[in-house]
Amino acid sequence: MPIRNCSPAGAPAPLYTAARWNLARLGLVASLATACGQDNATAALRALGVTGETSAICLERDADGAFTIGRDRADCPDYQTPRGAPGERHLHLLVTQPISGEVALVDLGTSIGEAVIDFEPSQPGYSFMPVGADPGAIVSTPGGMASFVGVAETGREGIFGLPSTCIGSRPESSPLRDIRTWPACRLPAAPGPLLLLDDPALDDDQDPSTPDRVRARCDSEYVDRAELLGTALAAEREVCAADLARERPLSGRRKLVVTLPSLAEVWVLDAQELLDRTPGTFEACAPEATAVLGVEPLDVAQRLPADLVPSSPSCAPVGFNHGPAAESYRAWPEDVALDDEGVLYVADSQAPVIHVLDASNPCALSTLPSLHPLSYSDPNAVVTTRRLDVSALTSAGKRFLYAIDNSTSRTAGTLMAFDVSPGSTERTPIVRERSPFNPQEAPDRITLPRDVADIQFVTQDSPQPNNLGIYVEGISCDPNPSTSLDSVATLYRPRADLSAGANPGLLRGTYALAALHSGQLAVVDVEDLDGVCRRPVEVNHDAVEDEFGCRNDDPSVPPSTPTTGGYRLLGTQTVTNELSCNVVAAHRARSRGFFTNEAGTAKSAGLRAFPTLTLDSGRSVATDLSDEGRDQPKMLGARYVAGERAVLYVGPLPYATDDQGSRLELDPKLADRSSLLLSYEEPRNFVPAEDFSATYEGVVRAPSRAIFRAPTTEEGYGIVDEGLNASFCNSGVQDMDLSADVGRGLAVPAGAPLATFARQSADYVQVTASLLDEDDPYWSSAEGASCGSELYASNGDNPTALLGRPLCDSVFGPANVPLPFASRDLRIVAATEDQLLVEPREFDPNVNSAQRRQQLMQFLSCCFPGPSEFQIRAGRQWVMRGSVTGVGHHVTTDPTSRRCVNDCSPLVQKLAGRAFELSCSENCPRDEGAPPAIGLANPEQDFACVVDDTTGGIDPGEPGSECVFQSLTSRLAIYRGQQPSRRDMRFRWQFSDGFSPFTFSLTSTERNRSSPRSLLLLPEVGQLVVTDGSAPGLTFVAVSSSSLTTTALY
Amino acid sequence: MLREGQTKRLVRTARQSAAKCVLPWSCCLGLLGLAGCFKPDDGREPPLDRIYFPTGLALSPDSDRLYVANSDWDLQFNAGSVQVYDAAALRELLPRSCKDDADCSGPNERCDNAPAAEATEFGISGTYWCVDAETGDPCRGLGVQSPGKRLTEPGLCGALDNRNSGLLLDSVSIASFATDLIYRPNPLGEGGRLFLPTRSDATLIWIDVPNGTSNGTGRELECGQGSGRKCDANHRRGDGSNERAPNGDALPVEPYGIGASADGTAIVVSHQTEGQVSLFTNDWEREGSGPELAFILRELAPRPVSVAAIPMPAIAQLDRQAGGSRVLGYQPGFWVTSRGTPFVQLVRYFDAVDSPDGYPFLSGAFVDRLSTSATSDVRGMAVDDSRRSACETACDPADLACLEACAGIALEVYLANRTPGSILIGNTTSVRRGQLSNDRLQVSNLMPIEDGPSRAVMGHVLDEQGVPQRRVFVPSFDSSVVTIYDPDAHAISARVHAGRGPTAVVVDDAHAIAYVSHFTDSYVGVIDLDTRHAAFGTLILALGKPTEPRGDDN
Repeated sequence: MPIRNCSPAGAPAPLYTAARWNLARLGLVASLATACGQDNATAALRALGVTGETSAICLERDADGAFTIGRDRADCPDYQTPRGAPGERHLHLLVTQPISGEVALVDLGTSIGEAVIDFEPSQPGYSFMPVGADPGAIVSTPGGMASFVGVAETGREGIFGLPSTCIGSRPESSPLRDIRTWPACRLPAAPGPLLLLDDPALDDDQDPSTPDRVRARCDSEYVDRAELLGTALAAEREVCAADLARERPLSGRRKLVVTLPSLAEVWVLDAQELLDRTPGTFEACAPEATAVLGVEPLDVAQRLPADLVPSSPSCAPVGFNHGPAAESYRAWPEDVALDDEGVLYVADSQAPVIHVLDASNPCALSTLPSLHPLSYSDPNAVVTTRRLDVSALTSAGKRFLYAIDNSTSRTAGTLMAFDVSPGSTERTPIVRERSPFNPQEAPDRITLPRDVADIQFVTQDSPQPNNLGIYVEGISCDPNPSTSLDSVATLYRPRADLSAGANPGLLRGTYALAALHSGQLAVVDVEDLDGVCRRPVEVNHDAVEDEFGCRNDDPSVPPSTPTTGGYRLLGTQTVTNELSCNVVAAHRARSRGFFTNEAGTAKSAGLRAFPTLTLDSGRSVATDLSDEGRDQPKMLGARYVAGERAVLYVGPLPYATDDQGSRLELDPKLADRSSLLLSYEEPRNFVPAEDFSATYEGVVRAPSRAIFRAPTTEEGYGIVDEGLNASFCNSGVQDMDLSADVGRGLAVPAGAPLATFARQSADYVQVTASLLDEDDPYWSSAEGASCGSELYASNGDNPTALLGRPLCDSVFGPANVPLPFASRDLRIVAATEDQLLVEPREFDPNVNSAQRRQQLMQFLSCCFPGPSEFQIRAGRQWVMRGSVTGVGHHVTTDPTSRRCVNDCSPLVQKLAGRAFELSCSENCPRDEGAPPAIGLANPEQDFACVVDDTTGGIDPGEPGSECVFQSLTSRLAIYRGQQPSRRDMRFRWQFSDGFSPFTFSLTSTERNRSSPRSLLLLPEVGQLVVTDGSAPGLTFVAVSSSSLTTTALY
Repeated sequence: MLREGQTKRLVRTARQSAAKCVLPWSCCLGLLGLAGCFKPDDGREPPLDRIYFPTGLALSPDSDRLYVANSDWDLQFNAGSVQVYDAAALRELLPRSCKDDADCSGPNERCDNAPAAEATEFGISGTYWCVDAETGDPCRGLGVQSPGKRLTEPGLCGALDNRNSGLLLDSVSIASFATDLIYRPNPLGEGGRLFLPTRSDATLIWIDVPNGTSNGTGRELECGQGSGRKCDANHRRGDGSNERAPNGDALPVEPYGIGASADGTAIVVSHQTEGQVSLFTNDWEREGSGPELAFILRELAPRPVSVAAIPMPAIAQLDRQAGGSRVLGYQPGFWVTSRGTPFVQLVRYFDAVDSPDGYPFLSGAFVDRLSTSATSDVRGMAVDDSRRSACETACDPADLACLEACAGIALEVYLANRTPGSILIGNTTSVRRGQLSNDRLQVSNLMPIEDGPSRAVMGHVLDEQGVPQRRVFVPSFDSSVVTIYDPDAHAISARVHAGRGPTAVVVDDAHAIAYVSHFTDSYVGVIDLDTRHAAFGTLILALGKPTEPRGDDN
């Protein structure tokens, strides 16, 4: 239900009016008036316990001053009736109290100290309506006459009707009220979600001048509506009367739709019939219609966007093993959502299906084709759902359903989006375009910082008047500078100082609010009406995306220069000038702030400082033009487009390739400091303040422990056995075959050069374990004492006369003392997900025999008999590691051979984590007597990334450009210094900030923990109500304010 | 590495610190009064017939023996104790539920199904219990508790004297501060063995038990006890100078949580202040030898508390059985959680066969983050392998392909999270494309419950048709509630109003009851788990007179 706000006169009004009015009456204006950022206000009242579910109801004050008269929700809030006068209308909430088995009533139209209604004033403290243990779902009739709550108390499962005439504070003159006050009926199983629908009235004579006819029961005759007025048993009661026939609005007959999860059934009850039951009785409910939820077999596949269509079937995800699929599933309805066309969606926590029912006539619920929650990344997964919501139609005529993944796969707790627009035939989760730019997030899942507890769509607008003074909703911001300023669409443009107009905190359009189990709310973009105004000023008319993620821009927008054109009007930007065209993306997390490096703002995507280099000893060294600096490798940015200007923000300042003052020098001969360039195709890759390092022969996988097993045959290799803990391919380990693939990609000549390249560049295991203590009993055992004897078996001569631990110590030494020889390094000859086949890295098959290899590995295995620490390093290349994002790679497990192979899935092709350094051939220009700009290649070892010239840096298309490192955020080249690079030389840098998802906490100082349970939108007042299983009471979130302020009531 | 003297010093420190209220249940301080804790007694022998700050419960496989670990938490005595009760006899004393008189088959019985408004001389009616037709006494002589009394000692009736000779079969004294109690049946024969970590002397205690009836000696518990009924030194592991792991490591101080493999051959104990877990191996073939300290795994998160054994897939059991081929490379696993650390540590157990040097050991494997909750303090874990087991049972035992497929079925895991009070809901998942689960744990859902959960166990209730339905039982120490959670409905089935300080729960599935130990008032309650009963989800009997801390001896 979209949020629209109307002034008392009924004329369109600016947003927030209604919210402020109501909150003023709650006495909360003061707390919200300071709303520049999150501001949690807490009331001092402590009445409510932890809360379960809520429903809203509009009640009118009767002649006695009590709110007992149900009114249409549209009649609340009341802007006209004097306070306290009969006829005054207040919005109320009914709130279940799961622990006490009660339902509380909260008056949202009064001061906060009086908001929680004491049901029984004669008792000390607050008491609420008793309904039995474990009250679950609760619903209220649109006309406010009654509410219904499902109770799951074991052995006493049922539905209780709460006539609005009796839910308030008991008048002194009335008899005591308890659980027997309520009409109720017994169910055969615990009820799940509830829903109130209308059995539609029938215009059987097609005469608009005659009233429609209604029927009392699903199987009874249609009669004039007047015949049902006042005839119900409950209508005649002296106390707690309820006559739903008098409800307004009413298009038919109220039906209560009850799900029974354990029976996989949906029951339809007549709401009035339930209210007519004698209070205090608990006879069986009488369904007028039932529907059994079946499970349709999966008959559809996910539709992939063009950029994820695999080049061959083998490049598609194959899924993990989730055990045998059950032949049949039992449906278990867990949540329901109804769209405004009467289509009912039912989440199922046991079966991989979202049921879809035509509920336009509750007496004849019919099944529509189901939705199928699938997983792109894990096609074998059985994906169930636990909560869902369906949006209103967006301004583009689209409708979406979001559901929480309840599977046992890695995507559990994330959101799926379904396109359920009118006419849509899609029945599987949307697989988003541009997912290769965001491979950390499953293409068909919305991943938020924590697991999702509930989801709620919000559609709202803040309409501006057009030149006729008419407020029109759903107008998108128009940044085109050629658009007439008479157009209302231009009013939504951001101000030059970003203080108004399009901004991250202004939720204008359709959004999803997700309650996270961690006690936060997160915002997901669905349709941001201002989204097109949040982008760079510069335009890109090409169809090829630039580094800002822009393409195919409006041809009528003039080309941009650094100071003119683009999205500028008279020198003033018409857009936010954020760094990316993808700051706002449908079905992705919304940004908390502007993603910009604009002056006066925090720099979202720059570096804190220029990258620094440390040696393997940990000492920092300069990379300037001094002799020592020239000895060191250089890391420099590399242009995206040859010859084009490039800019890097470092600290608060921009450095540009054409700026003489703050110059960004990319030529290794001239550069006196390290650098890189950033790319902004996908801002979500910028983890705030993430640390990065580029390490020569750096660690590919974190330290672990494994057993080193000796080869069993002479032809065999040593085995690194981690047992079930192994996940080598998943970590991106590259063995010799994969290294050879890399070499081919770098045009290394086949034959001996390629074989040498593969051997040198293959990852290797570095044994980091210490030897067992000298007094360990192992060394005195026969096996331990003879370690090394096999080394001399063939020549019979042990020159050192050492065996056992002394020999191990002499060869492998202490773990923390580097040895001049690489005895602890084991080349990975072949890698599978489960184990590695290794040989000593110094072993040369052209020189050494296989028997020697076996002996060496036997010796190592003997010296390290138990699980021993090790890590995996890359061979002769630089490893790029992000402190959060890790080392990018596209290695996967071949499902047949279980070997580590290149993953050809389009999703991971942009992941990168390694770089080969560039070196100079003999042809490199050099000044007389001086070395070339970068270090010389070694013809015996360097078969790739050898260039003849590095003047100006390496531009696209130039020789060596294949060795430029390009990740999802960074582009750079590493040039060899005059001295060879050494293991653990390390460049380090840090992002200045990044992209933060728009989340905010539901906790406050006094309510310092939160486990949100459910969300309920109150569009009348622009508030979202959050119930909580840990914190007492309710949290109100002003969704129509620009800062989403929260207010607690408990 | 700790030297012997150092170990002893640390042991003393542990005892002293315990006396200073360094408690696993921190809220005990509040419950026991703000005046602080009590000085240790000068050496009074514990009354072995008294339930005293119970911390652990266990049932024999036939449900006929109930074992209770008493911690002597306030050090009023010089020892704790282990008791064994005749659970079969106890069940006979439970009120029998009825719907009408026909359900009450005893002589001169009727069903107390009168409307509640029709109070009898006992002030209560409509209990739907079988009562004496003449007296109508629903409590059968135990006395009806006043409503006020029921607030702190829930249950309609007064407590049953646990010293009844027909109930209390045997008891022995052990060191103080037992933190838990687990039972493992002997796979080679009858009976089984109890294991208890005790904090005061930093040991693991083991006690042999016969199969249901006494083993000819008239004793139900065998721990080398003499006439003083004190377990001998041989049944303590970790405090002897010669009780070292093969590599010389000694047992660290502060043993707390305990987990054991299903066959009882591997026992893992957490050391809550040391960031370590210890491994004991238990060779059933060496009768009477007891467990042996095998290995100490160090450098875990600082405060490990809960340990849970991961059920092993049937195909892995086949692979690892005596003479098995051991081609799968599966090592049994344990999950370890730590206080204030939002991670679950997977630890793998290498037995003598898997160990390269023949010495069993533990190896740290994956660490999985608990991202569902903002804060995590997991005190207990319940692991449900029923779906996988059902799949395996349906396989022909020789059908390895079938068993292999079943091995991929996720285990469901429920973690009792202390703050905020919640059940974290997760499952095993795999990041590998292998055939066996590698026991990675992911948590993606949460059910808020009352504050202070201390354990989580799986069990069943009987539904309206008398069919067992799985449930998770979580006692919340701080809130005096036992939560019964329905994992299928993702809903709370019942909140059992328990007495003060519920610590351990053990479920007797065969008889649809659960036992809950009440730490603060030192008694054991019995909960009705048959949903057809009016008393479902309530305490229907208290075993042992509830006694406030430092109350009168009974």
